[in-house]
Amino acid sequence: MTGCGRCSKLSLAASAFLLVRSVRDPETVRLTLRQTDSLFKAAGLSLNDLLDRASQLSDKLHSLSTSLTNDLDSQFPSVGGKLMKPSMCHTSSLQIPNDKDQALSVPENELLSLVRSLLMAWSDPLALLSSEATNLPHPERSSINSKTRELQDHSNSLGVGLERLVRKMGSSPESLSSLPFNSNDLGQDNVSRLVNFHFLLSCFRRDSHKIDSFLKVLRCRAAKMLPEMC
Amino acid sequence: MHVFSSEGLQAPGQPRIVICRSPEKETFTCWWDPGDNTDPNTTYALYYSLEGSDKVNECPDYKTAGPNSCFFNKSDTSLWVNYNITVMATNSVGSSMSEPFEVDVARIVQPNTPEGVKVEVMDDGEMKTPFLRVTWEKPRSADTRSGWITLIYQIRVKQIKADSWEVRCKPDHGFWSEWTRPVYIQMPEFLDDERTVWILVAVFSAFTLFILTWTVNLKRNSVKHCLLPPVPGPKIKGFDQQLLKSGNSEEVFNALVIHGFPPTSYEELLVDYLEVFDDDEMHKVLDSNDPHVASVKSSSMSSDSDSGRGSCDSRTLLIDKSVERRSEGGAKQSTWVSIEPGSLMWTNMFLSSQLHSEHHYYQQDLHLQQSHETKSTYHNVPEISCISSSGHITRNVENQLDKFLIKSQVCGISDPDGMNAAMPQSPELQSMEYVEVQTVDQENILHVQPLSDPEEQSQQLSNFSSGENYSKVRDVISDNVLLLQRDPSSPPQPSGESQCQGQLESHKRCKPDTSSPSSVLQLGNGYVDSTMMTS
Repeated sequence: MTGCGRCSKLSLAASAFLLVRSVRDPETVRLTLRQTDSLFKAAGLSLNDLLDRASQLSDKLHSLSTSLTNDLDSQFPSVGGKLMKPSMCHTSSLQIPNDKDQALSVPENELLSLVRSLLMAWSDPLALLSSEATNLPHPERSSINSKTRELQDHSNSLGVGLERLVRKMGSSPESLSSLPFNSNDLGQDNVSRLVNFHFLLSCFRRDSHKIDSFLKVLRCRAAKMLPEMC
Repeated sequence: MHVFSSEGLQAPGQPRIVICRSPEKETFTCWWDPGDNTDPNTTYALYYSLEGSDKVNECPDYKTAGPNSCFFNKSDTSLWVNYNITVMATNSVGSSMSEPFEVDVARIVQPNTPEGVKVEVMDDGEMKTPFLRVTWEKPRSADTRSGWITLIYQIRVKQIKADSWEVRCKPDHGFWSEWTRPVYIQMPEFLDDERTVWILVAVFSAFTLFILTWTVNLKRNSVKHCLLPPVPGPKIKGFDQQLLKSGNSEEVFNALVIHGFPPTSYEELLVDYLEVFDDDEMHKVLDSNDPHVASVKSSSMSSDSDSGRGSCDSRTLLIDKSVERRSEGGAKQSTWVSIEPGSLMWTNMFLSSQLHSEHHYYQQDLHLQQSHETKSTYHNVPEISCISSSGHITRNVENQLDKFLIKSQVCGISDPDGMNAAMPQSPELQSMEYVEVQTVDQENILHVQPLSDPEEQSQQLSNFSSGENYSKVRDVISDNVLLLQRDPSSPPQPSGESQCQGQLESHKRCKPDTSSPSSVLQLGNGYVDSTMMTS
C-alpha cells in the first residue's frame, strides 16, 4: 500500500505549506512542526506518485464533505438546498467540463488549472466554515467542527501538492480563475448561519467531487503506462 | 385534484419518482412508481429541467430502461448539475404531476455488478498448499481506464457445503452494486503442512526404533558384555603369565612352587581328610618286618574279608612299625613318619583305649600337654609322645605280642566267645579311622583329629560325662609312658576299672591287663565307641 505512504507524505508537504501560509491555532502549529522535517522526502516523488496522493486527498475531501452534509441533514433535513440553489455557489461561474467526454478532452494542464482554481476558491470559505463550526447551533456540532477542521487541513495539503504537481508537470502555469468569496460571516441568527453553513458545504461537496474526478482522470492519464492503476 | 370522466374513470394517481441511478457516471436512469392507476391507457411523461435554466425537457428515452423509466444518455447527462425532474401521468380524464425530484448525477452513481466471476483452485510450485483464486471483471459499462470512474470491490464467501463466492463493487463515491450471482467451488482435500510434518516425524521415529531394535537383536552379546561386564578371573599372585606363555613348563612350576610354599598359616584354609586306612603299607610293613606277623597277616588276609580286619591289622602293624622305628631312633622322623603319626596315634589310641571318640583325645591331649608342655594346642596330639607311648606300650606288650596279635585276629576274624556285638561295630570303626588334619606345625608335624560330627562329639561328650564305659588316657607319666584310665564312672566293668586303677600305681601292668584277651574280649564294648555301637 504505497498509496497511504504517499498520502501521508503529501499531507506533510501541505502542512509545511500551512506553516508558511496561515498559522491559526496551536493544533495546526503542532501538526506543522511535527511534519515539516519530512517535507524533503516528497522531493523525489514521481508524477504518478504525486497525482496518486493528490487524488487520494481529493477523495478524502469529498468523503468528508459528504459526511458533513449528512450530519447536517440528519438534524435539519429540509434546510439545505431548498432555500438556496446550488447555482448560487460562488464557484458556479467557473466553466468546467460536466461530462466524461468533455473532461477527457481537456488537456492535463488545463484540467490541473481547473482543479487548482477550484481549490483556491475554497480556501477562504473553508476557513470560514472551520471558524463557524465551533459555535454552530447544531447537536452534531463537535463532529461537524472536527470534520470541518479536517476538511480545511486536507484542502490545504492538497493545495501544496497541486503546486508541486504544477512544477513537476513542467507546463507553463495557466492563469487561475479568480473566484472571490465575498462573505465574512454566515449570518447573524442561528438559522441563517445554519442555512448558509449547509449551503456552503453543499457547494464544496460538489466542487470537491469535481476536483476528485479531474484529479483521477489526470492520474489515469499520467499512468497510461501503468494500466493497473486505473 | 381528481378528475372523473363520464365513464366513471378517474384521473391517474400521483406518480412517484423512486430512484435515479447512474451506472458509470455517464448516463443515468430514473424510475417512477405509477401510483394508483386503474386505467391502462394512462401515459407517463417525465420532464426535467437543469438548474439555472428554466427550459423544461422531456425524457429522451422511455424504452431503454424498461417501463416507467427514463434513460438519459451521455449527451443528456451532465455532472455537477442538478436535474429537477417531475413525472406526469395522463389519461383521458386528466393528468397528475409527481413531486419534483432533484438529482445530481455525481451522487447517484451505482455501478452494475461485476462480471465473469470465477473461482479456481490453484496449485503452482511456489506455494505448497493449493489456494483459491477468485477473478472477476469490472462492469462492462464502467470506464475505469480513463479514471472517470473508480471502482472498489468487495468479495464475500459463504461456506456451506461448497464455497460460494460473490463479488460486488462500488464507485469511489456512490452506491454499492448488487452482488453477483454466487459462484461455487469445492475445496479440495489436502494435507496441511503441520499434519504432514507430524506424519513424517512419526514415520521417521518408527523407522529409527525398528533399526535400533534390529541392531540390538543382532548385537545382543556385545550389548550384554557392555552392560554387564564379566567378573575378572582371580589373579594368582606372583603368577607370571608371560612365563607361562614363553617359558617351559618346569620354570612355571618352579615359580608356582616357590611362591606358594611354605604357607604361612593353614589355620583357615586347609581342611583336608586323610584316610588312615592303610592296608597296603601295613601289608608292606608286615611283609618286610615280621614274618610271624606276616604269616598271621596273610592268614588273616586270606580268612578275613571283613572290614573289622583293618582294625586288628592296624594294631599289629602299628605296634610293629613303632617297634621298628623305635629301634632306629625315635627322634629321627622322615616325611613318612610325619604323615603317619595320625594313623599311628590313632592306632595307638585304638590300642589303648579302644578307639572311642575324639574327646578322649582331648583329655589325653590335655594330659599330655600338661605333662610334656610340648604342644601348644591340646587338640594336637603330640606325635612324639604318642609314638613314645606306643613304643612304650609295645615294649610292654612285646612279649605278649603273639598273644595280642592272635587276640586281635580273633577280634577281627571271628568271635568264638560270641562277640557278635563287636562284629557289626567293625565297619563303623573303620569309618572312624578318618582323621581330620587340624594343623600342620612349622616342624612338619601333622596334627590330626578323628573326623566326627561336632554334634556327635558333644553328644559323645555328654555320654561320656554321664558315665559310659570308656577308658581314657589318664596321664602320661614320662615320655614313654601313656597312662590310660578307664572311666571311673563306668559301673559295668568294676573289675576292669579296679584293675586299671590298680595299674595306675604299677604302670607296667595296666596295659597288659587292658590288652589282655580277657580284657579285650570282656571290654568289647569298651574297644569301640559305646555310643556308636549302641546307637
